[in-house]
Amino acid sequence: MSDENKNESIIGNKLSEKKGELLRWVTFKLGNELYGVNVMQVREVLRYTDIAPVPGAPSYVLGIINLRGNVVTVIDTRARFGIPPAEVTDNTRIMIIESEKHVIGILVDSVAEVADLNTADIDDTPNVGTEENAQFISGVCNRKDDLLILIDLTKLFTETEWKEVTNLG
Amino acid sequence: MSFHEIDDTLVEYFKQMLAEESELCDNNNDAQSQKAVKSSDKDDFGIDTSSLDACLDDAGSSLQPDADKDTVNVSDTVSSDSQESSIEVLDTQSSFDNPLENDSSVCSSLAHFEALARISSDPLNAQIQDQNEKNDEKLRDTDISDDVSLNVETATAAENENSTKLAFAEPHPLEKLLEKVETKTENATQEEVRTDTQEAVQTVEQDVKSEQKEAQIIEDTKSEDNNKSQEEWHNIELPKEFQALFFLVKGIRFAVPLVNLGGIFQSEKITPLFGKPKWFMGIADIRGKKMNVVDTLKWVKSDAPDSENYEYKIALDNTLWSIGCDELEGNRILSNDSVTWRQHSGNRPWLAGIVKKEMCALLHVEELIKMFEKGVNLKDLDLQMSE
Repeated sequence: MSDENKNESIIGNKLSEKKGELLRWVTFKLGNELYGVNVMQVREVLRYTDIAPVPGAPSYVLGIINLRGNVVTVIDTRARFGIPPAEVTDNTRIMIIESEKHVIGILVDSVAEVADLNTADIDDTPNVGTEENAQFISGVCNRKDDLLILIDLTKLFTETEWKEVTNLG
Repeated sequence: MSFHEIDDTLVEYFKQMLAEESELCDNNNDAQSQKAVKSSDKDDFGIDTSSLDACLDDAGSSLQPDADKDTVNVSDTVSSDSQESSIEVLDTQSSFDNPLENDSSVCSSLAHFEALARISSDPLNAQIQDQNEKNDEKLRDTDISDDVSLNVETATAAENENSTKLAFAEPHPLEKLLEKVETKTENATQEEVRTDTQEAVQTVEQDVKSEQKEAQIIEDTKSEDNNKSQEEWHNIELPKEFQALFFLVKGIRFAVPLVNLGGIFQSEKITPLFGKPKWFMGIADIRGKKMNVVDTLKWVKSDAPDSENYEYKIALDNTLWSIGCDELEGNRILSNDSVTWRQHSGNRPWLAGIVKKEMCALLHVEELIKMFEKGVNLKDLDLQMSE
């Protein structure tokens, strides 16, 4: 089992079973909220570039970009999370993430830092959500004066959605 | 060579030929062999049939009576071998001068021909006989063909007889057989179709029955759940006098027994989470605890506008659930008589009763938390109850 898969498994539902481990998270902001993804899933962070829209693509897909010869699909993270849209600013970034051999870009308002979190400090969220995107959240954790919402990128899309998204490129 | 010498040689030759032909005739009656012999004779003697016919016409007129007589005689003795002899005689005749050309020798030649005819069949008679034989052969052929045709006819007749016999024995057997086969196949197909349709009907009936059973079971379970929920629903048990906290949410007054009060806290920061119900405001960090904050007004009334924030958050029991409120009115002592207690859950399991004096709702905290955990608000509850 590779370290990446190991980390991904830790991100998931087994958080409560993996107490006491130190994990690194890349934090980013969407609106006023702070989110975090596992650092092992982040390939690189890009400044905002022009995104070519793809006709017929799902509503949560902004388009595609050319990343050193490779076509990468960029996801509208706000739309996927059900958050109202916002304008692109100088702080807007495209995070290139890799999840289960799928490479996509997610558009975020800004990238904050790389935070070290103890799994013991991560709490589960109430299971009251009926919507699909409720399962993206793997837990919450205190970070300074804010609450950090940890995202499980493996659950960001279903298998068919992953294929649909990656086939756009 | 004198004429008599020629005659002698001819007589001997004919005798020899007749003997040979008689032997051949016994063994071979085939017309093809005769034709072969004829063709070979033609080659040997170079006879032209036209000259032969002319010679026959010239000499036949005077010799016709004897020829007829001789024909009968020869035909009795010689069957089918006279052709060659007659041809050879004619050939010998054609080899020397025509005797008819010399008037003086006509009588002698006629006598000679008569003698020849007596001995070895007259060539003219032989020719006639040959023709007769040919006719006979033709007749035989015709007879044979007739026989064949007759045989065929008889065979077909026999078949017809057989068929007619079968027809008499069983009229229209093929049609009946076909009808039987068709009827059998039709019956088989009908049976198959019937069996298929019966099976399909049975499966559909079974499916319908199973679905009905499942629906019945679901209805039973639903009714059981409702009954259980109604039966399991128990109103809060409080002493004769108890304290309750009164608070306002957008002008609506609520009361919560102090025994179910987990705490009151203020927090400016509530972190919303996506994918949650609209009445779920988010998570607030209260002394290290991640409290779930509920938009009370939104929970009561789904179409209410979003609240910016609540001044206070009232924690329920020892859970992480809290409800927002705008204004705290303080606590008061209430007696059991001052509250109209509900006996059944009805559509409002979260409602323990109505405080008579203040005309406000006294919350059933335990049931309220259950609803929060189920992700159900009042509207959802109404929909569930209506279903």
